[in-house]
Amino acid sequence: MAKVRALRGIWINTKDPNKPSELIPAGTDFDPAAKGIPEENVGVLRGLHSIVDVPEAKKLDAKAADAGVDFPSPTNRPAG
Amino acid sequence: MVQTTSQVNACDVVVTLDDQTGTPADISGSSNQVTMNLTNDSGTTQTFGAGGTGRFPVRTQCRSDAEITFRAVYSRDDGEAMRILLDWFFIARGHKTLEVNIPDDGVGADKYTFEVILQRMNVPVDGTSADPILAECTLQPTGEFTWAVIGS
Repeated sequence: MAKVRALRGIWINTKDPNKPSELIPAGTDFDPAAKGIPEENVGVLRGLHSIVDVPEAKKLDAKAADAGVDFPSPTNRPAG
Repeated sequence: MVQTTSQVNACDVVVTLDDQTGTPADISGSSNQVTMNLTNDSGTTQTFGAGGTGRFPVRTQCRSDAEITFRAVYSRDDGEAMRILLDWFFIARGHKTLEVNIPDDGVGADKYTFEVILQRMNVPVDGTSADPILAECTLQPTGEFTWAVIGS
């Protein structure tokens, strides 16, 4: 699966007592499948604008730089 | 402006707090209110007002902090909120992990995570009331606290 960027922190519950849960910090590029996030959950996260595809994130980077704000921030998420 | 359809209430919120063994315990069934007061430390100053520029202050921001008030039902079973709080105050001090999941703990929910100390606990004991006793405590975070979305 293509990499996506976390626009906010993403919490991964492993539900495995031997493997601790994980927080993917906002701004991190990651592969949802590699983190064990099922496809339907990826859809939920996209719908909440919590993740975007990396190419789209790079466009937002440029837009944010023009606006002089840090990315990701709540003010430069894609419109819902 | 389109009216929101994603509003939530607190009915199904899931709150977890480390129990006496350090294991996260779901205390949603023995508590009914959490208020997270989030603050940004800010500074301000004014300048001379040549040309009217000094009319308004200028501000800067520095650190972030939080204070959480939490209301527990006074129950007597181990693993429930009140017993965890009493043990925390009287026996085993230190910090615990507090998680607040809104509107529930499903995928897409908001998860707030704090490492907290117990700063204060108020236990109002009123002999004229038939209502269960509700204890309120104040928790203060130590170190970073986070806001995330549940991905799995």
